[in-house]
Amino acid sequence: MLDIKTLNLDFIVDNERHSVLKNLSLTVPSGATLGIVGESGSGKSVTAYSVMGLLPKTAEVSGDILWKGQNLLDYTEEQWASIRGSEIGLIFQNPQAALNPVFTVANQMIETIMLHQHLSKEQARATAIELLEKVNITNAADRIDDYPHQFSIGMCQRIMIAMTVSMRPKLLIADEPTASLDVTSQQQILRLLTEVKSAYDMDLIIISHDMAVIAEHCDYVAVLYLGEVVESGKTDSIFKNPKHAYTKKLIDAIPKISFL
Amino acid sequence: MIRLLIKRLILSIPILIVVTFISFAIMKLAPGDPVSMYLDPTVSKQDVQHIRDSMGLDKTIPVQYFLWLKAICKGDFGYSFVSKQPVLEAIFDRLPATLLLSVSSLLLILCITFPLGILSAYKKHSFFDDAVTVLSFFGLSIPAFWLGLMLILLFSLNLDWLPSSGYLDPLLLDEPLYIRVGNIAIHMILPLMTILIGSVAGLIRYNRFGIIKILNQDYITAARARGISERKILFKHALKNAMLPIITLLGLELPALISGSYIIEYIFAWPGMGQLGVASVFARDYPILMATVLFSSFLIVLGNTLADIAYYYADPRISKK
Amino acid sequence: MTKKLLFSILYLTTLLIAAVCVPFFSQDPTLIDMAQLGSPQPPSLSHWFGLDDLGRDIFLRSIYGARVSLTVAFVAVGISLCIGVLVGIISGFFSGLVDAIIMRLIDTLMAIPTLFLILIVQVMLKPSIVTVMVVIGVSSWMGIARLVRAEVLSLKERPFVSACKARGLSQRRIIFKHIFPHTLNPVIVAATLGMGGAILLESVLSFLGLGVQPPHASWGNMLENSLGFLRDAPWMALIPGCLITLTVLSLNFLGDGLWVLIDPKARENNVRHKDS
Repeated sequence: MLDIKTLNLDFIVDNERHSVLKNLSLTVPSGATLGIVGESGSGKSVTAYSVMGLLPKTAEVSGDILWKGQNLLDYTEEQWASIRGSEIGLIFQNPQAALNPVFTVANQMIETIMLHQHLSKEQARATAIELLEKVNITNAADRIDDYPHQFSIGMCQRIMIAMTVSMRPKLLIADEPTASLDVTSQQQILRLLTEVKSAYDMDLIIISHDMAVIAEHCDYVAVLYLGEVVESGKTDSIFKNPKHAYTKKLIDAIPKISFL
Repeated sequence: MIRLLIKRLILSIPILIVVTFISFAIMKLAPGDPVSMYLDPTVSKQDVQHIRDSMGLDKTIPVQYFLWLKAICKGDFGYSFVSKQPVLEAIFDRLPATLLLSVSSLLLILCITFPLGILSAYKKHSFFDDAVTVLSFFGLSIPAFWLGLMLILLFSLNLDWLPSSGYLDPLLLDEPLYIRVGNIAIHMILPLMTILIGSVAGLIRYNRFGIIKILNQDYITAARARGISERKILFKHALKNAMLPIITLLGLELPALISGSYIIEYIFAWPGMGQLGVASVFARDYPILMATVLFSSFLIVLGNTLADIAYYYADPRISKK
Repeated sequence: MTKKLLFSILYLTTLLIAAVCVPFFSQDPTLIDMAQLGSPQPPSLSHWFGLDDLGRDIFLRSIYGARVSLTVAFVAVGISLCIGVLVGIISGFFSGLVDAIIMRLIDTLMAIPTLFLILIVQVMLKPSIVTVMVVIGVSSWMGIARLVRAEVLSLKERPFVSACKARGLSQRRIIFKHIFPHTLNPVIVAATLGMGGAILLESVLSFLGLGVQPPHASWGNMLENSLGFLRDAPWMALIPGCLITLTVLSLNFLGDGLWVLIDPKARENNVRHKDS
């Protein structure tokens, strides 16, 4: 449903034009998990923000971002607001920073749920608790009234996933979902994402700098280097036969454990 | 909550003690003989000496300080040189008027600063924002007493719309309450305008800067990503976070706000503690001056303590560890 | 170079030049014109700012007033800088008990209504331009001390300080040669803004008769003089007030501009690149 064609993105700062994305094209095949991989500065997160219409005012975009055939770049602010969350959802890199520190988790989840579904406050609260239990937050009924800083980062990410999923998006973009987590939490979150994807029948994009994560969880991959897609295709084929020098470097960088 | 209040007040005691030193020093350093201010020439030398002894003026300074402190704690602040009225009574007579002005200005400040600051930050670098910025620079640079005078010139002397001084038209003393209240409110307009223009200016810039920082935070982007309207993002998500630094700033600005309001009370002849204080400076009425310094500092410390407590409760990251 | 910065630099330079040069070009501004006694004249071509109630040329008195205000500002801020920087460095560098005591002292002093206290002190002394400068200077050092202390605290942790210690440099040398220069950044901004504050304070004091004494001209006492003529000769009150406002405004613009230049974090034009 998502089809990006020749996307160009520049930032204009102090009258200087900085090119961030050049002729970027990628597609998310229906029902698949696409991995976008690249190093810091390659433009991975900016791509996600472009799809959500969350770029700052200094950004100048051209090209096509086709969602269900419509070009999102023509959207007005109201139209964007109508698809954000309900059609396309975004998970952030630092989950604790992505939650408002002065409101309880209950407040934020109920706000989101009531915005997207016609439920009363009590019903929304019950739904929220249910979702939190589904993402393995223990004692959800009590903990929902806690503040974000009272949860661990791993739990915050799970809360974020629960909140985003409550909106029933058709596409879920996870921007470096495990960057702030320790190794065990990383695996839990990635597994949770895959579960949630099949449970709610969503397309999934995982953005990461870690090729190993992509290798394990994504059907397709697009390799980003300095704002351009240098290689893309099925993960298996890319790994077996990397064509671009940079792809080869990324694959080589995966630490391998070998028995001597 | 009460425990926190008590704890904070106890921490403030050293400050209050130093303030008592300063107040006492004012009394002692003041030129002139305090005894003679209360007496007339017909009193005999022996009686003068007798009064001196009973006032403890023959004792050493530290002893005098403690005697004075003891008297203060009992509520005896001495007598005004000018009116011969007990100082505590004189000040308490004036306190309501000052509180009325201060509290009203504080509420109005909050009501004006937040919306303007938020809109200014949101429409960064727009015409609205630039206009607000320039106006607030002006507000910061205008001498408050001159502003008061100019407002009197415009609205009282030239247009005759508003009264230039006082609190209540003496001809209305027998009128029903609502008429008196309305008249007081009319008298408050010019002093309030003067106070507001100065204080709002500084706060708006601070508020704006804080809100710009808040609007750059991840949780604002995340809220947008969930389809939450811009209006809700500004007035719910950003606003509550913006309150925190404002509370701190208000606490820091309190001394200047209070001092400044004294001059304004003087200019507008508003019968508050400040007007009494400034008039007493000219009259060299040291007992009143000393008590005014004490009370003002106490109000400031109280205000800071309340601000501390408010901050503690406003920020869940502190109150829920 | 923004418009605001340009305006302030132009205005302040003009004011400064006028203030410095005026004694060479004109007569005594305190000279009373007996013929004009009691009838202030509005601004005209011959007297740009008009005449006051004693027949004195207001334009001339305004420039002499500028001399007073600028001098007070410089000296008062100079005093508060000397005290504030010293206290801030001592407090920040030596930490521990010394720091705790100094900070408590600063907190206490900031809890006192300064303006009111200044009034009291001025009434006890014989007010003059010297007492005004000293009193303002001595009552305004606290903010600078806090700023400097914060800078020193963060600088202390930097590797270059440990390197100095390892080289066996004396504490005195470390403080004055190495740490002190870095504290100047926020201090310059605070000093500029402080000058505006000093001018405002001086004007209030002179207005109340507790500052610069007549017949010497100060913007503040010119305002005090204008009180009796508010209705009939409003320009006598308007002009000094506008001058004070413009001067303080320029200083504020200047301080703000310097701050943006000095502190890169303060640049609101910074776009947060959502890169990676």
